[in-house]
Amino acid sequence: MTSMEVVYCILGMFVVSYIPRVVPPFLLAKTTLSPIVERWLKYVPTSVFGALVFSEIFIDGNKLNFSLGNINLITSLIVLAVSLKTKSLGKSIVTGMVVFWLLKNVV
Amino acid sequence: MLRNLYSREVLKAVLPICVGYIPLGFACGVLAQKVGVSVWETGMMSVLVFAGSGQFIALSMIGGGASISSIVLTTFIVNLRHTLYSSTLTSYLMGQSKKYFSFFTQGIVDETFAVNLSEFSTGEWDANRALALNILAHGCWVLSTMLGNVVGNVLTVDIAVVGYTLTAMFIGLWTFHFENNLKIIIGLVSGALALFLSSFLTHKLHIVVATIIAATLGCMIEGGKKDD
Repeated sequence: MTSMEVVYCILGMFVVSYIPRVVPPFLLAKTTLSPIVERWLKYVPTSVFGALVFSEIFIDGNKLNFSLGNINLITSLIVLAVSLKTKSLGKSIVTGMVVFWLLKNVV
Repeated sequence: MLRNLYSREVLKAVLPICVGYIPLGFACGVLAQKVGVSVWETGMMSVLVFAGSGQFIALSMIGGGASISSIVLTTFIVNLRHTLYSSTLTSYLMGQSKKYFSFFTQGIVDETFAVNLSEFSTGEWDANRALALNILAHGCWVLSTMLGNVVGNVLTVDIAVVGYTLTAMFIGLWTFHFENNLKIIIGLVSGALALFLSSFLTHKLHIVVATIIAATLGCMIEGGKKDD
């Protein structure tokens, strides 16, 4: 790809990334949300996090890894316990990094 | 607005994002350099596109000689999930100006969505802080990718370990939404659905479809309970 083509490509990527981001507030912000949309939106966060977290933990390249040798899985169970107990994002993240590093390099 | 960039609350909230972004952005910059994308083009892509996995995929496609149209289409699909984030955050930002939304939404990615949402639900958060957080996270991403492009071959970072930061952050933020059993169950259902869908949906579409199905299910179950 020539330098000019890279720039065109980036501009194209900008347009298709910006539109999905910018359109919702222009459709939703001026009206009051209907109760059913509001109720639906209440379940979006837990659904997004569930989908993201499960994907990060179990998807390994093109396959699913459910084995106990999956470092992501073991670390995440510990992070989950810490987060539920302490309610602290900082403690959860630090625990995650330490445990992940130990499992990867020491165990 | 600029005052908020330096407020303690915003800096504290953006810290975990930056800890994850520096190595990831670095890796992204290294990849850009390997496929022949210059430091300025890398910066331009990070400013205009701002999408972690979207940029990784686009750069590998550039390296593989893909056409511009296929790269743009792929980017569109990979970033469609931002529509869900933008819709959800809008419900906390009712009444903001068009100008505000045109800047704010450019900074919406998995991580800024997650952190802004949790800050909004705890109460001590407002539109300016949310915008400041987006700008700081975005700036951090832009600089990390450019730095990676310049010094990529000199340093090596254990991306797996630091990359796990973002997973840990998502887990932590997820548990903050465990307010009742239904929310926990819906999250788990969404996770299982995402894994099932990932075998035939590519480009992160499994996240979008799983979220839509699971949120609809949650909405229906709650509606059903109320009718009893």
